[in-house]
Amino acid sequence: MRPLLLAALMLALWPLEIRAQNFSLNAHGTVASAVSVARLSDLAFGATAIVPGTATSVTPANGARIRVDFNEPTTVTAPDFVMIAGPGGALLRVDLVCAQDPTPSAAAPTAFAAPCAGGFIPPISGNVGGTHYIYVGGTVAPAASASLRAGSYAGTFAVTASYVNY
Amino acid sequence: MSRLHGRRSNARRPRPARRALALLALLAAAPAAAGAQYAVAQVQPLAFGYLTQGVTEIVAPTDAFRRGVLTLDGPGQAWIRLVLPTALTSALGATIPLQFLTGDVTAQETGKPPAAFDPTTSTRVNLSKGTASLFIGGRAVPAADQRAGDYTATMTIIVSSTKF
Repeated sequence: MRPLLLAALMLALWPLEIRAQNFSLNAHGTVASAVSVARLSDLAFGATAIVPGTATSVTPANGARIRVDFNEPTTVTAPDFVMIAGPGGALLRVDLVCAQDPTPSAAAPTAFAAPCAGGFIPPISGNVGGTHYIYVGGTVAPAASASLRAGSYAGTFAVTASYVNY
Repeated sequence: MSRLHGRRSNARRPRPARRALALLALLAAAPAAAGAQYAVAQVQPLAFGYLTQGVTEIVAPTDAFRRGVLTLDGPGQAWIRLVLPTALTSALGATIPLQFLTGDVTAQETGKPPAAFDPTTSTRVNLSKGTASLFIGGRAVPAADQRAGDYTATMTIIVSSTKF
């Protein structure tokens, strides 16, 4: 084919290609955050008496259990200790020990890498959220109960889930 | 012998008149191509808004607030086709499937009511009477435990002066 003829053919075809133009349009949506924390059982030292001046503890597996449902990364925290009140306003310090497991009745849940206040982020990957369980045990140090009045002690602490709100 | 070679060589060269004619033809064709330019503007994106986990969210092409709207300007007629996304995607890589069914995409020429068309095949739009609009609805299908976050997608409209 002669060069001029070839050039003419190419130039004749060229406009067909540049006539097609592309443009973009956006679509968007938002999935709202859905995080909940539910208490399954309390931390209870039970009928076992705390002997003043001696240590008493409840392991996380036998302590409080909390269910956390989440659909985004969530940091779950509890306080490092709680003061529970007894007769005449006496206060007893209970140091909390936190652990976690994906199942609700783990015999040996995994301890938090940090103290309870340092928190734990349940694993999440891919498209969906999930459910995780937090276990909270407690320890009464000998010094905390050394000169304590006899009686029944009770208190509350909060387990908190923090997340970005969509 | 040498004269014969000279004649053959001259015969292969294009004549000046023929070359000029070809050049004129090319110059005449070029403006036609440049004239077939289209302008597409996004009036509003396709907005599914807040999605409920496990609930399919449907945006109709008649939903004035949430449908995607494009305007198309240009000479004569245009052939259009849409490349629709299969999913919304979050910054963390989570996805929500999208569905576009028959009737979810409509085109409206000036002076006419919107008419549904198959966005996956080349469809003709008459622009000789003015701007045409495209209305895009669709369905987002989040999972029952869909991850929270903002999700986005991009769709592409291809416009041509010829069927493709």
